[in-house]
Amino acid sequence: MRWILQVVVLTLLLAAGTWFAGWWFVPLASAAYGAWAANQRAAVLTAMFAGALAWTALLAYDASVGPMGRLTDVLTGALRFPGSTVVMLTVAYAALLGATAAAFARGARRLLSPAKASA
Amino acid sequence: MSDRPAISAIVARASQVATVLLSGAAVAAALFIGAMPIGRAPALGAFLEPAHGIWAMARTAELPRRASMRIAGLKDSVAVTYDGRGVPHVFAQNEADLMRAFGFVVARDRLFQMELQTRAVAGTLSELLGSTALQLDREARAQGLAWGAERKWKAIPDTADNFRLVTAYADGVNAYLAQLTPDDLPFEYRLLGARPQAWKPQYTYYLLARMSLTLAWNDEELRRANIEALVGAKAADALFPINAPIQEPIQPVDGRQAPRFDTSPLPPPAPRDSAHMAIAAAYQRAAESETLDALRGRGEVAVGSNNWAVSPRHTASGYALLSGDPHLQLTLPSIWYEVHLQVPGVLDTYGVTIPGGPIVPIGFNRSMAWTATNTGADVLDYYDEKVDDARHPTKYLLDGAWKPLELRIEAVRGRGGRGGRVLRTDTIYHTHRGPMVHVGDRWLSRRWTALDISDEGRLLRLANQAHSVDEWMTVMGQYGVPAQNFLTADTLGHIAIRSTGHYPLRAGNGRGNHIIDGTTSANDWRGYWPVERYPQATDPAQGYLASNNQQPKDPQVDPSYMGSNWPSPFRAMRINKLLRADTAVTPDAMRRFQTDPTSEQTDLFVQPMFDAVAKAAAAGRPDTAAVRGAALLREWDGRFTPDNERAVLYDAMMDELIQRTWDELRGAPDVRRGPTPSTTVLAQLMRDANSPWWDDRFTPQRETRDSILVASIGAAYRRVTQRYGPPGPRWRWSGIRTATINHLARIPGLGRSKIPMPSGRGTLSPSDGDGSHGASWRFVVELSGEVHAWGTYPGGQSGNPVSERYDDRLASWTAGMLDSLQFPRRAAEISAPRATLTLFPER
Repeated sequence: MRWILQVVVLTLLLAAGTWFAGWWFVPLASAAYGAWAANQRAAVLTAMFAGALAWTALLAYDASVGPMGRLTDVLTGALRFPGSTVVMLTVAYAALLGATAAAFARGARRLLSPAKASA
Repeated sequence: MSDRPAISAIVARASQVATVLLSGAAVAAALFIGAMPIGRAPALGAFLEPAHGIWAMARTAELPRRASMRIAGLKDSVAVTYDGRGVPHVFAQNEADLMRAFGFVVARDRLFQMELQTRAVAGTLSELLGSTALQLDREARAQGLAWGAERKWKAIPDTADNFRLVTAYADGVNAYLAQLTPDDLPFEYRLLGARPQAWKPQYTYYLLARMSLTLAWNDEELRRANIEALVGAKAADALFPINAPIQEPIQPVDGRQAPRFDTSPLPPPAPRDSAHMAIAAAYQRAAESETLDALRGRGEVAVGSNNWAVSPRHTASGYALLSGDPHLQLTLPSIWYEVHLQVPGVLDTYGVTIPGGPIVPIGFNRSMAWTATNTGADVLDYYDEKVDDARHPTKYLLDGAWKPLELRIEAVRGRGGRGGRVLRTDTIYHTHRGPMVHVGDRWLSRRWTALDISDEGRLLRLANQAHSVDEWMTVMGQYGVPAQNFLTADTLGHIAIRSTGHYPLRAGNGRGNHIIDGTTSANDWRGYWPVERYPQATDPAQGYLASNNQQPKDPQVDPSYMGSNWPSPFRAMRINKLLRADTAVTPDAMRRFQTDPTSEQTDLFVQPMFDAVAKAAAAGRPDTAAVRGAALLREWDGRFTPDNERAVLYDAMMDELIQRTWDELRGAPDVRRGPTPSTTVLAQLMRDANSPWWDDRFTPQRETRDSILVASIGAAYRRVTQRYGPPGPRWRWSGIRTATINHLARIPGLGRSKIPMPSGRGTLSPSDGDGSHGASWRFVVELSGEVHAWGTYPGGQSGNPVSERYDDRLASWTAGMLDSLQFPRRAAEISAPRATLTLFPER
């Protein structure tokens, strides 16, 4: 339950941060989360899920107000691979940013102050 | 035993360090691809981010229903209402506000197009697209278009109205840029990882220069030198003649109801001339490159603008009618942007504009309508210059004295603009005539009207406000370049046409289709023709006027040199025939004429072919494929309609006939590329059955016209059946003559393909099928008390490929239909408005 709560809160934070600050907010906030949750085994997984969910939610919003189908068609033509792949790449990239930043910060925290991190 | 915990701690620590290093490397890699473009791929972070990246385009694809903003410089508020077709109707209280709002509105829809076209002229495409555009940039700088445009801009006093209004337009564009959010960034910039550049007022003149390049670039001298080397001077003159062998001129000839045919035989080809081969070889090399479209072996490039106007006594309604059908390169977004501009008491004009140009070159107002076709006159001459150093010249010889060359250093930079790497530095040399080009072993300078100081923008702006044909023609008398066949009609019932532009007064025989000796100033231009000498007509007895890029004046009326190698007049013959036959023309008939599927050239070739096949059969030398092909073509109604299953055979026959006839102009039998005389010259040759030109010098026997015709239809039949199978639905013209309209920057997926083209050789709406050229804007205006108009173009108002307004007119354009155009006096009169934008002055 606590893990789900963390995923939800972090998702909301990443979505809002992306909206107001930009893509770089995802690794920044995920790193902060990773450092904060250094003692949690699932911290990396949490950041990964939250990143993916945050950007999925934003994509869903875009689709609800505009011609996302037409946009993916345009991308399909322009990039010469399926637009749906770009959707998946977008979600995967957010997950990657979240997971790697959290993993790095969690590892660094544990390395620098093992006692606190494992407390 | 006691060491084990210590070792295990060290291992654990090392594992932690390794994890940190690995995850650090991973996050660094993720950040790197997020922040840095790799190769031609944009930085992924900003690109993929769903809030402001590429996905935001779904939210911003369409205009908001209502928007308002403040922009600096406005004196009063400006109301912009977009009608259901996405056309902005701009209502302002003064001209400067109108221009400011106009710049804002065009940038809102076509920002990337504006920048790309400007860069194409400036030779800075590489800064946006990378080194792939280097050659284009070098050519643009060598042509000196931006150099010329800057001179024109500098020559306009800053107190002049035009300076003020063009600057206001630029301010409007920059006001849009200033409020541009990441969400609104056009698709192409996102893909390229670039940002839009600021708009300078002189860029408007860059775009006018670009039109001159498209419409007034004429290097017939070089082509002619090439042909002369291959077949001799007399033959070159006959194959690319100064006077078209079929005369159906723009300026009507009193009492003439049919075209005049020149039946004189073509002089035979002479042996190759080694003296001219150096320049011929250089020209052939250029022709092989991607830069000289006209020589790619397709014969006449299928470009064909049309316009015609009908006097009230020949229309059903009793009002003058005008049709405009300019053909240009087709792209998405379209070259044109439709707009209605109004300042009470000053201007109330509707029409199409080139994004970046604050004028309506083709359109109408409450009193009159105007349109244009290209004159294609020779306004560019090459001078053979003698220089002091063949590789690095510093002086040129003029009237026995060495004159210093002006040097222009052009550094082409790569992506990143001014901070980008210099890809290439070229030195462009100028004589007093213009920039020089190195062709073969010669230095040639160019004298070109497009580089003269003139201000067509001002004249067109004033013409937009004219109240009558007379007023329009008076204003446009000073117009210089590109020379256009301007056609006008007004609500008073007058129609008029004039091939307007600066035509050089040359020394000697007045001809400019050969390279001129540059060592004497006696060969320089001596001015321009007076306006009264221009081809022109007003309210002619025949009751209509038309132009289709053909030779404007019959040389029997005026033999003055205007150019050479004129486009075949088959379109003119067709529209004149249609207009002669209809004495109660309606706007809908005008529309139908625009896509009329009949060609006046077919009879000139098909019947002689039937006769030749019959003769061969009677002589016991039947070619089965030729007999079958001829039989199938007998079933043809001569129309290039979409469901026609015989037009393909005629098209293939003509292709074969052209290839087989002009073998003298190709280097080897397997070479299909080569300079090709116009179909009119081929028609002239048809009258001489035993001309030496019919002989194919790559075969041992001697061919005649008839044997070439039989071979052509036979080969065409074999080719068509091989490609499309036996006669049947696969021969249908709609599946064969399809076009692809490319994106302006050729970004794949943003163009449209397999568009059926209801056009064929010599039809009013020609197309070579590759979509490179076609009807760029079709419109019809009825000059009644309340002006009515209909129009469309292939594309849509928006430059955003995600918007439904990107290509929403393509279907009606393909079907040859026109939309009714709204021309309201007030914003409230616009039915079903799509969106509104109100621009307020800054507080």
